[in-house]
Amino acid sequence: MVNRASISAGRSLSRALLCVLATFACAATAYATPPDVLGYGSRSTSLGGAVTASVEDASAVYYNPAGLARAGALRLQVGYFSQSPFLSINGQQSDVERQGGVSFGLVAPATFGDFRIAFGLGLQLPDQRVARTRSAIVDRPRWELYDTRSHRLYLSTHLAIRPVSWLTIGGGLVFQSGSVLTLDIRGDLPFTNAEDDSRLEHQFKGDLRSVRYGSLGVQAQVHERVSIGLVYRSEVELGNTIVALAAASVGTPGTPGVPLDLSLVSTSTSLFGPQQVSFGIDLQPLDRLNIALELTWNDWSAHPSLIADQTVDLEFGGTAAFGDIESLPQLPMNLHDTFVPRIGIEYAALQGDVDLDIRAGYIYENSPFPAQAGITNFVDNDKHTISLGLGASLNDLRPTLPGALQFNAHFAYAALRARDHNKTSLVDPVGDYRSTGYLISAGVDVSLVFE
Amino acid sequence: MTQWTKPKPLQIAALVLFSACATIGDEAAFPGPVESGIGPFRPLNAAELVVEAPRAGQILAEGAAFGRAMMTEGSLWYAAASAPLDPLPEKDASLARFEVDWAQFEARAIFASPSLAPARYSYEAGTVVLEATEPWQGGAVFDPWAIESSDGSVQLYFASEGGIGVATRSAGSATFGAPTQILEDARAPSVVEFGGETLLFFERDGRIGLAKSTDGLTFTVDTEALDLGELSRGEEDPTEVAQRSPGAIVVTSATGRVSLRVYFESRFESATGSVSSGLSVSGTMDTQTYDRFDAELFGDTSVLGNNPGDPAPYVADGEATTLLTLTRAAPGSPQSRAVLGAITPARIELVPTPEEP
Repeated sequence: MVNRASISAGRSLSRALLCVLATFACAATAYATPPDVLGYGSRSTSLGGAVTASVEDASAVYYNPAGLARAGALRLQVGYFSQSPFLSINGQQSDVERQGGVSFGLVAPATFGDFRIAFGLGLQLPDQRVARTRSAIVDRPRWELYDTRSHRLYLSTHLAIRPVSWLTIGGGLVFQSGSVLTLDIRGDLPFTNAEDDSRLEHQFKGDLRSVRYGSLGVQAQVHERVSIGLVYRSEVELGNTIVALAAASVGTPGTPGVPLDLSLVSTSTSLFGPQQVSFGIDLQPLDRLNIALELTWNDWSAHPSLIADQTVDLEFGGTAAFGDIESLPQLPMNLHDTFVPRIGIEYAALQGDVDLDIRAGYIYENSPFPAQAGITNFVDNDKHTISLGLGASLNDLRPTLPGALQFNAHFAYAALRARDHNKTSLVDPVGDYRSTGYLISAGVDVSLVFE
Repeated sequence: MTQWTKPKPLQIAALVLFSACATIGDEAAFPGPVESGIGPFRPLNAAELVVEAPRAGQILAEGAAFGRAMMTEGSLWYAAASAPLDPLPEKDASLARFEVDWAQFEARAIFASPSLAPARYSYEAGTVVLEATEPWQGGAVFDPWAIESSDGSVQLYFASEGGIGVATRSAGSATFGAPTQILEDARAPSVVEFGGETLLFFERDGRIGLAKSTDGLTFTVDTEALDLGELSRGEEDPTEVAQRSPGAIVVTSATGRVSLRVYFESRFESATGSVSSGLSVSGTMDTQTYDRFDAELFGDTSVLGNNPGDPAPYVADGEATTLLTLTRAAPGSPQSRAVLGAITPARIELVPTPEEP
């Protein structure tokens, strides 16, 4: 949409320059998928996410799409989740927002003799905003993996097959949302009587874009009490480009104006999720006891620089007005790959018309970010997460419901190990700082399982 | 009779869903700043001062020609000459325009002034605590640097024509004892305890040097001219030709690291021969290698006016702030300087709390 506006010459030029200056020290924000941070489904989350080998509910759309074909029942799942961060730097709260939302899941199988095929759909809808793009001053410390990381819509669609009774294979696509902004200003700026005689047009465009990436998984029941699973999630990256173009003719009415041209192009990465490989094993040493172990590799070393790359050209009368305007260098992130171990334990306390399961899980996630000794300040800490959960299943609901009604709830506490960031430069204006904190999350979900 | 019906499963699910949808996102602020306290500074404002100050940050009322000033807890120590000579001698033509020709004034002495309650960093005109009494002092004492001990005693380091000396005032005493000369042909002493030693930074021949001591009285020169690092300069920028008037403090970071910061005055000379001054700071952990802060120490340099000098830092305990006293050119004839106070982080306000009756 194009608008005409009368703007004074001085204010317009100031705005253009402020736009230039404001982007000099901006850093983009790293993102990954919301389930990476919040989990998906209360049962899987309460088991520490160690479900690659055994998942068979709607959360299989994230943890292992092969699990969609494991159970063989039509399933509708809806839930709510929330995570509250209590993160601080130098003892001062960092005011990182609570994240939460509603999740939906669908598993729709069809069986043809021994062959089974299943379709899965998963949706996480944030309860605060659909998507957010944020750039911040590069020398201001911020919690890179928690600041607005999950404020985006998550949608996944998968298919799975069970060609033989002991093997399931699944795969599909995940959709993530991101935003792109462009600003274009053109027109004439008179030196005199600017408010009445200016003819400036500007157009602004903001797009909510989606990016797709794939996942592929397999589960194998290698023994009646042992199941193994393997899943791969591909890398996701969404670039963000901000373009500001100002082309004006500056002068007095009735005389040829002097051209003023400003061009600012800023490119950065607004969304990045590393490729991941998870291997898990589920053991059933007792009839009522399951123990799951899992290890996940995250390819964080492929993370692009979070410092926006800027190109600025300002010409007045065809001559560069300020010479070379340097932008911040594209500093390497120096992130390293991580290996995340998980363990989950599930005990069937009651079995019959009413099932009651007690669950617990543990995750250790070492931070992919190095200590921030240079001019960047992307804060992240090693994290220990303990989760607990309960599940209840009402199994005999006929004639009301031809199947079961399941309730799951989880609670998790994540402790971030305190970390010191000592600057190499003794005259750094930010200086040394210590980051620490904890996260509390909880959620519930309800499933209708149709036999 | 009221009959209760069991909620159906879909009703339960709908209740959960609508409850979840009832939350609305609030706008969250950007993360707050984390600052090391090295700068940039802002001048203390009128709300933080009680001195009627026509210039931003002025902490000491005008009425004399001031030399370097420095803060300790509750006191300001400064050098001043009370009045110009009459008749006024011609100013030394070799001095820069903004420099004071002390030969135009009565002999300088060192003053101490308590803070004006409730403002912690405003000061009234002080009283003389040290005058030149020894032949080696050449008739004047200036550039004070006071170290207050926990027992109430004070060691006052100072400069004079014959070099740097020290005088001691015992706890409970009102006067300083006889001064001792500790370093010849040097100016602007700044003394700190660091790494188990007493360090004395001094100015000599346009460079800043370092001397060390184990008792605070007998010093040995460790480095004649420290390499405090360089500023990024363009081809057309004035060249740094001298480093003067060091002011050192020991700081402990939020992670417990202890380092030394040396604030100092830089003298610049342009291609046309014009001389100017500015303020700089360098940091070190071993007193040998220094990182220089390559940016403006003041967010808004216009409030300083021209040619600031004589920086003397002071860490306000418990407030994670650094205060800086400095002098800048003040109008008048003969040329004189005003004493200003500045603070970093700039967001911290030191508005005094009114005293209870």
